[in-house]
Amino acid sequence: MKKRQYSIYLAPAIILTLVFYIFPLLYLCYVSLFQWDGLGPMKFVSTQNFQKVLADRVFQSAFKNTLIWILSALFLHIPLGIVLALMLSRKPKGWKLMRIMYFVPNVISTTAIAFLWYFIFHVDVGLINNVLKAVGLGNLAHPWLNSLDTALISSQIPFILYVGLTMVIFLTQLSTIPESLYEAAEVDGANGLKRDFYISLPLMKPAIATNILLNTAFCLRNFEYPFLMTGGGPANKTTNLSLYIYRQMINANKYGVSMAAGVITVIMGFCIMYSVSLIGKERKGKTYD
Amino acid sequence: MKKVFALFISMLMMVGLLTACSSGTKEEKNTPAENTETTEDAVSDSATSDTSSEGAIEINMYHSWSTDSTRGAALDSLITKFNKENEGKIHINVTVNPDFPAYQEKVKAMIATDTTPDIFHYNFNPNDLSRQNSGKLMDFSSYMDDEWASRFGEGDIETLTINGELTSIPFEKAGALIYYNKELFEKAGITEFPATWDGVLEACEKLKVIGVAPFSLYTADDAWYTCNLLSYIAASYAGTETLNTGGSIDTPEMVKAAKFLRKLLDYTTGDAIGANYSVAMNNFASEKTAMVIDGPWLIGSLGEIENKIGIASAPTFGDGIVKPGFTVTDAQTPWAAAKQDDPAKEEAIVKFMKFITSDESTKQLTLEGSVFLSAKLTLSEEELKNSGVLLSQYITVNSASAESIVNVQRNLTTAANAALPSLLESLALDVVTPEEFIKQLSAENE
Repeated sequence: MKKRQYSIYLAPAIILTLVFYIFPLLYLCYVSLFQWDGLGPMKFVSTQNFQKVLADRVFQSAFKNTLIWILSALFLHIPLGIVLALMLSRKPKGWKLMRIMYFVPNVISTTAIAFLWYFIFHVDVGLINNVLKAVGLGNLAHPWLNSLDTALISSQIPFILYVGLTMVIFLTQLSTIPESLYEAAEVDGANGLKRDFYISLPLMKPAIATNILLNTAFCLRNFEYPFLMTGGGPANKTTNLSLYIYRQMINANKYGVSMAAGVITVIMGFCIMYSVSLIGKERKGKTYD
Repeated sequence: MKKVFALFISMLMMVGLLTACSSGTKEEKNTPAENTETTEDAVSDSATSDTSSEGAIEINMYHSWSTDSTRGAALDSLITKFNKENEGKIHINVTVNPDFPAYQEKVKAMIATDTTPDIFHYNFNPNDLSRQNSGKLMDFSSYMDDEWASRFGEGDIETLTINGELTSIPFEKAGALIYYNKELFEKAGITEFPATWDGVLEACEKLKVIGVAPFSLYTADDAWYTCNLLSYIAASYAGTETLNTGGSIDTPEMVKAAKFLRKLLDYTTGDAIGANYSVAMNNFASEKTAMVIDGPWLIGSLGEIENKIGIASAPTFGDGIVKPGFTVTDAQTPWAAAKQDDPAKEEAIVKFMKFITSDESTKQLTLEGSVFLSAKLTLSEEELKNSGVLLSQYITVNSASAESIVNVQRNLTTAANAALPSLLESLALDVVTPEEFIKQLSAENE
């Protein structure tokens, strides 16, 4: 194909990327160097916004909470997806129905799910506290979303439990593993768990890398769960980076500070994504060598 | 075959989508004779709405009072009346966004993007003059003659005049008074509303014993109920004059007020942390709580229990620092308008402003909508008597107030207001001490 033809095919994608990705990103970096309330004139303050953001206790808390979200994805959400995928790959009775049931939450809006869980955890009208009271365990009733100890984990529960998409990606990968490998393992006397550990899991590594990438990206941009379930509270205990950026811009009218936090989030996201993709590539190489 | 079918379905969906979109646009443009109220958060572009096909000047109004509230219904009826009186000449189109915090942010965004609504209202904050300084608001000073100016409360015009320009017309200015449930108080063995804050603490204990949360408070959004309470306590410690003059909030009196507030935060509902206005208000309306500090608009939501409710004068510490019966008023919520190129439209806006602040409109808004305005209210004895159980109580307590302060949060910067909910939560959960609470709030306020 001629160079000119390549250019014609690539042009729409390049233009769209420039207009909707590169330009806004550059504008984000530009505004982060200004003090601006969104209405009046912008005042150049160099890197002061970055200094303010990094020294802000709320930002530090938001950064920590975002990392906790990523860790919950790595150590709870994805492992749960793997376990369910391995169970369903054995095709037990009703596996198709279960697969659909696990996937259904993925087609419901996050807003609806967040509200659903808000009412499950609600201190007065919540399902959990009312069930506890009904079975005589009223002393265990707790302000799940309003307590410093339980707010963060409670707001993460829907994300941790709804593993439908993650599970489907694993199932897709599992379906590509040749049956002959399992047959050979069976001849060698490998039981179910050994098959999972020595055949399925090593060959699922590309899917694991993909899921790490997708879920890390979700955790970095996650907004609905903390916004709707806890509003970032109590005392910023559940504020994450997305919510911090929103609050600085919409509530505090500190557009420059908000953009500076956005730039830091983009850099953080890029570093995490790049590291994960490097690990993924390395492991992929090892697996198929 | 499958591909053809898929293509057909896709095209069908696309046609459906386009049809739906175009019909929606038609509905918005087909303005009926009466005021058109759109409850969606639609943006009306002042630049594109000069005159209708019938020649009437179209004015796009954006406000937050939905018609399912008494004040929204009263305002709507006045707008309808104005539209009828000016049929073929001026027509007000209304867009409502009942979520007030979101509404305020939307207005700011609209000003920033040059789509300022022709008429809108907002919370005036002397520490946030971004709207006034945007240069996109209409200046009413040349229209504000003595006759019109005499309609408003003392000092209101001066307060709203910024850099020589009057970019807002005084409108709502209500006292946030203490409503209490007399029946719950009686059940708890409290015969009358306490005159001192120590008495309030004792009453809270008694109410707690009978399983009732004494105060309706909340910390989300603007944490308004909690800030009303803080304002009352702060004024009781510092006096209204000290607080009204503004300045630093890092004072010993404010620390004392924060300490007292911390005590009262133990006497609220379990859902107060993270709750918003409607949750806390419903807690009072459904008798889960015994006290709330709210404006007159609450009256419309207390229909079923209005005979059980009393409105009390503010307690003091009994040391004479404030006069008994002082009140905390909310911020002024004035009207503002977009700067106009068309003089006829500008005059039409002024005509509407004069109409909405007239004696008759003020009376109607107060009696039908339980709204208290900056514009002077003249009521006869009989009108006061017939205004309803709670409204007449409200008017009596409010008018007996010897002094008042504006809610402390209304004089905080936008950044301090944004930090307030999480700081109040930190105070309630003992993450910060009252001293740290005031220090951090003060730092955000600088």
